[in-house]
Amino acid sequence: MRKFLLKFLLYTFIIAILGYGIIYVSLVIQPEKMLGSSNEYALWKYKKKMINMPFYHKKNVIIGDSRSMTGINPLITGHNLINLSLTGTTAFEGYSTLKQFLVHHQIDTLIVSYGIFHYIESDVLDKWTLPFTLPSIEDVNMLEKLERQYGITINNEKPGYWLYLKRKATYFHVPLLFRSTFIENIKQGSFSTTVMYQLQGMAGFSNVSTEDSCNVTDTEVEMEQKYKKLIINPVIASYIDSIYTLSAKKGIKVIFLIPPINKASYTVLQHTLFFRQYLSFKENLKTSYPEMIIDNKYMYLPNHYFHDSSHLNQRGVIFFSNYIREEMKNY
Amino acid sequence: MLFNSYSFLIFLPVVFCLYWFVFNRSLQWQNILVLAASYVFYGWWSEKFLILLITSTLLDYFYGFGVGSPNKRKSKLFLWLGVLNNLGILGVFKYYNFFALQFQQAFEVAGIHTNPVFLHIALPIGLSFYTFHGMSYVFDIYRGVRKPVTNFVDYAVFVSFFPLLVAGPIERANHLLPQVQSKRIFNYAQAVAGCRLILWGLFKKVVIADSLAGIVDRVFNDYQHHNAFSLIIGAVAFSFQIYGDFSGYSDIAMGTAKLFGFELLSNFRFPYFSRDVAEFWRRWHISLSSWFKDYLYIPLGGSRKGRIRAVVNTFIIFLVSGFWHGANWTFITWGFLHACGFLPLLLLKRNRKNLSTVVAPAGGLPNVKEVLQMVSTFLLITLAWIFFRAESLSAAWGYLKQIVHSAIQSPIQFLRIPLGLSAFFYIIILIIIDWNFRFNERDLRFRNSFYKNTFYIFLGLSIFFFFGKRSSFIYFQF
Repeated sequence: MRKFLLKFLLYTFIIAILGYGIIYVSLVIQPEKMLGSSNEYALWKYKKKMINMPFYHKKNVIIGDSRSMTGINPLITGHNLINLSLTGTTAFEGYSTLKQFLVHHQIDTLIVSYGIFHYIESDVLDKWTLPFTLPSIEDVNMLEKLERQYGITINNEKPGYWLYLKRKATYFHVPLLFRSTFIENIKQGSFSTTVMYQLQGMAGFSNVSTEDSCNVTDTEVEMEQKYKKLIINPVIASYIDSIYTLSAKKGIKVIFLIPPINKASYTVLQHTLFFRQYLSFKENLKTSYPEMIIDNKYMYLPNHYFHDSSHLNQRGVIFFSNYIREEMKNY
Repeated sequence: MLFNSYSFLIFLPVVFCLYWFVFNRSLQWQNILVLAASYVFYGWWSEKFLILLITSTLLDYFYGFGVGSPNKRKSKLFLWLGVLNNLGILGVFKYYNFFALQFQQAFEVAGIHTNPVFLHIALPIGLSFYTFHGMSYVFDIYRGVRKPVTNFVDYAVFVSFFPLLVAGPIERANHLLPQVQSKRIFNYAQAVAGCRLILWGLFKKVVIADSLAGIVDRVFNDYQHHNAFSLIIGAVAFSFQIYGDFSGYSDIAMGTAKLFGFELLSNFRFPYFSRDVAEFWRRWHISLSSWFKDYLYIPLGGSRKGRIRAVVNTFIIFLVSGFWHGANWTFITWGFLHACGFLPLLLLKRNRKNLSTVVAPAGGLPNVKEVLQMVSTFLLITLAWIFFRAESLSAAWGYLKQIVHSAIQSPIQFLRIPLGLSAFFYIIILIIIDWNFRFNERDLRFRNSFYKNTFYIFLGLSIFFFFGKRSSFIYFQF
């Protein structure tokens, strides 16, 4: 029996060491394959590079989610604008990005633009950006402090030490956390070179949509159907406050830009309690931050400007970026 | 509890340690532990149906005494009670809705509208397996092969032994009960062989079958929009998915049983190396086919009462075997297709041709004739699997029609890379390993320890990377 148990333990140990060793080496050699979607990795890597790029002029900066990353093209807007928005991020990453950017640069105008989704869902705090280490570890600690302070639930569970431990392990690329996704990550293709060319040539903007029009109602309408009421996540609200406070301290003008949704979604949403609460959230922002400019001229745009219900297609990008170019003169 | 779950990874070592270190003082205590563990294993899935399992076990246990009575009339009466008890449970939980629907549809044809009551209950997991254990017990007592068991725990362990409780192999009272009743001593070689079988079974399930499942589901769930080449790959992938899934389960079950000192019946012997349908049935789900042979085919007269009777009996056994899998015409058709494949062999008296030899017995590669025989058998079996996998008969027909239409409309598709081609990566690995071990399914032998260690580390690492996806075993639904 003793011999059997020893042999069993030895084999288990060898397999675990080899397995986690392979994952560790893969994480070091090919992080773009191991840390999640390779496109997201490429996006993050380039944004990180942009944050640390030497710029000799004062810049205008956009922070936001995929709506602004794929919706505002700095080549069209001009005005020294750079797009630091990143898919799937919230004001948490936005604040972190701003803070890091300000270490080496100065900003004249800051455009903040997130979809409704990124103000209410607590699940978005279950951070996919962690393995990319976009926010610093201090930022992650601060996020957790705020979560505890506001009693936030993530995926319907109150975050405990286990989640925090998992977060830290993800942040520091502990191989244990990447076993279950190893095979899927290996199978995934390389990142799109088109995305990379766009990012480099268009100051952080990328849009590879091919749809000519979209009349479906998904993300925002699904949110309304799920929640009925709009309750702003206090952690997100706290980060909006931090963005504003930091900007005010540095003398940066802040524009709070509401990204448009397609007309089909707007038609469904416009008379709902959810949407009314969204409008009053904006009004409250105006009251709380009187210096902040709230731009909600285009709450919605025609369906033929959209790739999906909330992301602009190529035609929509041209229209919306031109609008921003004109507005930047007035801001 | 699934074999491929984290809970089982904890459950098995805990029970193993308790079994050999704490409860090893007496056989009775070991059996009590095995029974308790089996009920925990089953109750993990449903406590409600655990009561059904215990009730069914109790009834068969008591009927056993009646069947064992020297009074022939009493013995026969209790035999029927035992059969009715087990078939009754199966009938209510598995077949009632099917018959009610057929009844309703038959009356609809006659223009009479009926409104039968349909039961909205889940099918208890492993029902077809433990009821067959119970029936095997009363049959064996009736045939005088064994005496009724006096100790309830012993009998309950035979019915509910957790490695085989939910998907077999279907054990015989005569084979497993004597092992339950005799002292078990830890055997190093047996335990090591058990671990190897568990590894091999897990590899077949989590690496091969689960990887193929994605391709199979994509093709079968949307067959109307796939071309012939992809549909053929989907069908071939399903043949290997179900083999990996079910034989993987059986290997884990056999391996787990070995860890506790038990030897279970073999369930698979490399079925896709069969040279005809008859040989396939001696290699696929052996415990079920031999159950039907012993308790249905032979009592019906087998092939001893003339050729016509043998043909009728063959069709009965295949149709019942199909129906055993589920209350759906797709399974019955699957059984019928196998009967059609078996029939020419029976009529030409070639059904016992490949009885004991394996393909390419001298080792190495098969000859051309053997390859042709294996490929043609595999194609027939894969055709039948399309009916087995499809949601309905019309979906199976649709699948086949789509293959033909698409192939005629666009023969050039066979020159392009189809969807699901990656399935062959897993299939080839399985074929190569199976081919090398084809002489003995229980003992995976190697030329030297280097090959052996490399092989098991390869299996272990593959499982390490693939383990964790929550996917049930296909045969759990039966």
